[in-house]
Amino acid sequence: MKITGEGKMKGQIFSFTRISSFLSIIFIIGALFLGSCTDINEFTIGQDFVEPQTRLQVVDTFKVDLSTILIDSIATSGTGTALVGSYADTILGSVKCNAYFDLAYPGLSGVNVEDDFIFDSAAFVFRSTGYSYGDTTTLMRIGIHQLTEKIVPFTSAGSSTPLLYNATSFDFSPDPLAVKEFYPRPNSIDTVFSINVNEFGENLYELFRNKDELVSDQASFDDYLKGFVLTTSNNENNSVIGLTGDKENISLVLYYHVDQEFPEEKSFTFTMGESNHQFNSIRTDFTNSPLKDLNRENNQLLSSVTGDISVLQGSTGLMARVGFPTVQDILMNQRWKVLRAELVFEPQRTSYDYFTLPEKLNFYETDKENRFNSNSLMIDSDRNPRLPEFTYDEFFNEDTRYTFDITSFIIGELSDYYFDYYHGILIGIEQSDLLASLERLIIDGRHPPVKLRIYYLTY
Amino acid sequence: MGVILMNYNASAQITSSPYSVFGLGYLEGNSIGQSKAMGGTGIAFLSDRSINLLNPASYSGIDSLVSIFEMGIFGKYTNFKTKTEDQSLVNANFKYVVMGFRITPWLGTSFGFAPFSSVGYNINTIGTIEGTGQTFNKTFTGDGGINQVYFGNSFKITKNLALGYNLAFLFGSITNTESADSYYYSLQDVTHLSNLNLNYGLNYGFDIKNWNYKIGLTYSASKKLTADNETTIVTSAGSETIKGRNNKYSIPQTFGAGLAFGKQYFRAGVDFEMSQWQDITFSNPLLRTRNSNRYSFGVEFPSQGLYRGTNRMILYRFGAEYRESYMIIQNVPINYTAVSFGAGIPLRGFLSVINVSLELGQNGTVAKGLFRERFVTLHLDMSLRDFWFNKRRYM
Repeated sequence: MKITGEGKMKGQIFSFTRISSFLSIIFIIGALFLGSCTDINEFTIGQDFVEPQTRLQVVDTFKVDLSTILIDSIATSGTGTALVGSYADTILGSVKCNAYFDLAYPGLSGVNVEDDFIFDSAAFVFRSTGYSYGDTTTLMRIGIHQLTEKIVPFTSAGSSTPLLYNATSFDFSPDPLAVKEFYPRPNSIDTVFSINVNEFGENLYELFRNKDELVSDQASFDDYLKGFVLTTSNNENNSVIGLTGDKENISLVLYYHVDQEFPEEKSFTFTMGESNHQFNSIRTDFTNSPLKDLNRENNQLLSSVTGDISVLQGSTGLMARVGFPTVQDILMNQRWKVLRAELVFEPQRTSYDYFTLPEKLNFYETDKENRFNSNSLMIDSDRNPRLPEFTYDEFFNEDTRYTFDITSFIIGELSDYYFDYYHGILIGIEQSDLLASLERLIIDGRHPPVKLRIYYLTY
Repeated sequence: MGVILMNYNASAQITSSPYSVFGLGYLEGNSIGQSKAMGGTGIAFLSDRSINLLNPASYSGIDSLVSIFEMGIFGKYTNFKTKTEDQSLVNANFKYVVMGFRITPWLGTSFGFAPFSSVGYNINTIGTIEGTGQTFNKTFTGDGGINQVYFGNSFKITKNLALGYNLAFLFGSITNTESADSYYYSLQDVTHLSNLNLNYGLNYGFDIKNWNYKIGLTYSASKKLTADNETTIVTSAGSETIKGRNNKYSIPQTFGAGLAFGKQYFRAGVDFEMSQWQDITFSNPLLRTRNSNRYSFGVEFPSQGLYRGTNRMILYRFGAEYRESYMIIQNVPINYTAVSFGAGIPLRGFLSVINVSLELGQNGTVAKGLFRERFVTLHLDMSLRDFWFNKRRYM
C-alpha cells in the first residue's frame, strides 16, 4: 500500500485516459444503435399478445329533427359593409338590400366657398369591398335617394347600445338623385365606385357659398340632409355588392376650380356621418318559396313542411336548427362511453349551382325558445369558434358535406343521464359574415337526412 | 436529437420487451455488479469487493474495514424480429442501489433497493370501428413492475460456514393501458402488488491444496402477493373507475445451488437455480407456466504485470447463462441465452471500482408468430468503498 506521490499522479492520468477512451467507444457504439431505432410510435411487434378490452362502435340511426328558424332581427348597423342590390334566389325567392348612411357636418369653415370659386361637378364616392353575391355578369342599376326621415338607432330588449336592424327602414324620396348602371366586377377590392349628382351637389355648394341658414349649424344641416339610401331601382338586378361602410370610404365630393389664368382643380369632401348610422335593410320575399309560412310570428318550421330543407343565411336571419329526440336511447346500454359525436349534413344538390357554398359555419347551443348568444357559441379547445369540416366534391356533387364535431355537446348533455330534447343546436353563417353577407346554405333534410353519428366505446 | 430523446423517453422503463406483457413481466434476478459480467453467476461467491445479492450468506465476506455503496445503471439495445418484421429499441435506466458492511467479525449486513420484475412495452396496433370499414391506431402500453427493498444479515457461524437471510419488502404496480389518441380514450388497468418475502442462504468454504472451494445454497418459499386491481376508463367526459378484476399473483418457491473455486485473484463458479413457476398460473390464455431453470458459469482473473495485487489491479470477467423462463407462450417455451464479459476498473484512491460489462444475448424465438429479441446491454456499476469505521487511524 505504499504509493509515492509521483506514482499516484501517474496512476491518475493513466486511469483517466483509460476510462475516457473507454467511454468514448461506448458513446460511439450507443449512437450507432440509436440511429437504427424504431420510432416507439411505430413499434408493432407483440400485436398478437395483447387482448383488447374495449370495442369501438358507431351508430348513426338516431333521429335528427331539422327545422328552419327566422331570428327576430339581425343588427346590421356599423358592420363596415354596405350591402346594395337585389337578386332572385332560385329556391328562396327574392332578396333586396338597401344601404343607408348619412353625412357628417363639415362646418361652414369646412366648405368655405370664396367668390372666385367655380363649381364643376359632384359625386358620391364609394369603394368596393370585393364582396358580391349572385350573378355579377348582368347589368346592375343602383339609385341614390335622399331620406325624408333622419337615421336614428334605437335600443332594444336584447341590446343596450343603440342599433339598427335588417328589418329597419326609413322613408326616402321616390325620385332618385341619380341612377348608376354598371357591370359589377366580382372580387375587385378597392375599386372606386362613384355616382354623379351634379345638380344636387351644386345646390349644396350654393347653400355653403351663401352661408345659408340650412347649413349654418349641425342641427340645421342634419335636418336638411337627413341621409341617403342606395337602392336598386328595379327588380331586374341579379346580384348584391358590398361597399366599404366607413367614414374614410363613403363620401360626397364637390369639385370646383379657382377662376384664374391657370385654373386649379380642387374639391370639398363631406365624409360619412356616425358609423352606427350606416346599416343595411334586407328584405326577403318567401312568397313562392318553401319558406312561405315562415315569418316573425311563426318563426320555426320543421323541414317536413318546407320541402325537406332547412335554410341558413347571413343578414336575412335564417338559421337551421337540429334537435335529437332519440339520443337518450343510448343511455339504456351498460358500460359505454361516448367518444365522439358528429353532425353530418349535405347541401341540397341543386342549391349551389349559382350560389357558392359557405365553408365556415358557426354553431350555437340553444333552448326551447331558440335563444343563442356569443356565450352559447360552440368553441374548440383553443376557445376559437369550432368550424365544420367541409368536403367539396366538385365533380359528382355526391360527397359534398359538412361534418361538425359535437362531442362535448352530446357528452355534456348525457352526463346527467338525461337528454333534454329542447337543448338543440342552431347553425348559422360564420359570425363575422353573419351581419354583412348573404351567403346561404340549404341543408337537405331527406336525401340524405341529417345524421347524428355517435362513436362509442363498450368495455 | 429530438428523435433520440423521444425514443429514450418513451421507453424509460427498466424493461423494453413485448414479452413483459405476460405475468409479472421480466424477472430481473438478483445478479448485480460483478456477477453481471460473469453470466449472472455468484451463488457460491462471498461479497468481498462488492455486494453479492445472489446469496444473503455472502455479506459476511465484506472486508471488515470498509463499507460498500453500489449503484448500477444500464443501457440496452434490442432488436426484435418476427418472421416478417424487424424493429429495434433502446432503453436505459437506473437500476439499483445497495449498501453493505460488516458490523462485527461474524456479522455482515446489507440493505438496498433493486428491481424484482419489470414490465415495459409499447405495442401499436390497428383497431377497427365496428359497423364501418374505418380503422384507427390503438396502442397498448405496459409499465411498472415489482421492486424490492431488502435488509439482510449474514452470520459467520464457523470459519468455513456462513448463513444469511434477506427480508425483502416487495412492492410495485403493473400498469397495462389500451388507448387511442384519435378517439381520446384509454383503459388503464393498474395492479398494485406487495408482500414481504424471506430468502435464506448458506455458504461453506474449504481448501484443497492451494485452491479454495465454496459451496452456496439458497432457498426462498413461494409467496402470494397482495393484489389490488383498479381499472379506469378515461375519455373526454372524464374518468371513471370500474371495479377491478380479482386476479391472484404469487412468486414461486426457488432453490439455488452454486459451486466456486479460486486461487489468489482468480476465481470461477457455476450456478443452478430452479423456480417452481409450474404451480403458479396467470389468467392470460396465451400464457402457460413451467418451472424456470437458470444455468450459468463465470470466471474472474486479474490483469497481469505490475499492478497485479495492488489497488490498481484490473479484474477481467466473463461468463454465460442459459435461462428457461417461466413463460410458455402459444406452446412455445421462451428461453434466454447470454454471454457477458467485463472488467472491474479501480478508480484512484481507496478501493472504489467501476464494474463495466457487456451482455449479448437473445430471448425467445421467431416460431409460431412469436419474436426473437437480440440485445446488447451495457451495465455500468459504481462500487464506492470507504473506510467508514476507522477513518481516524488515517487522520
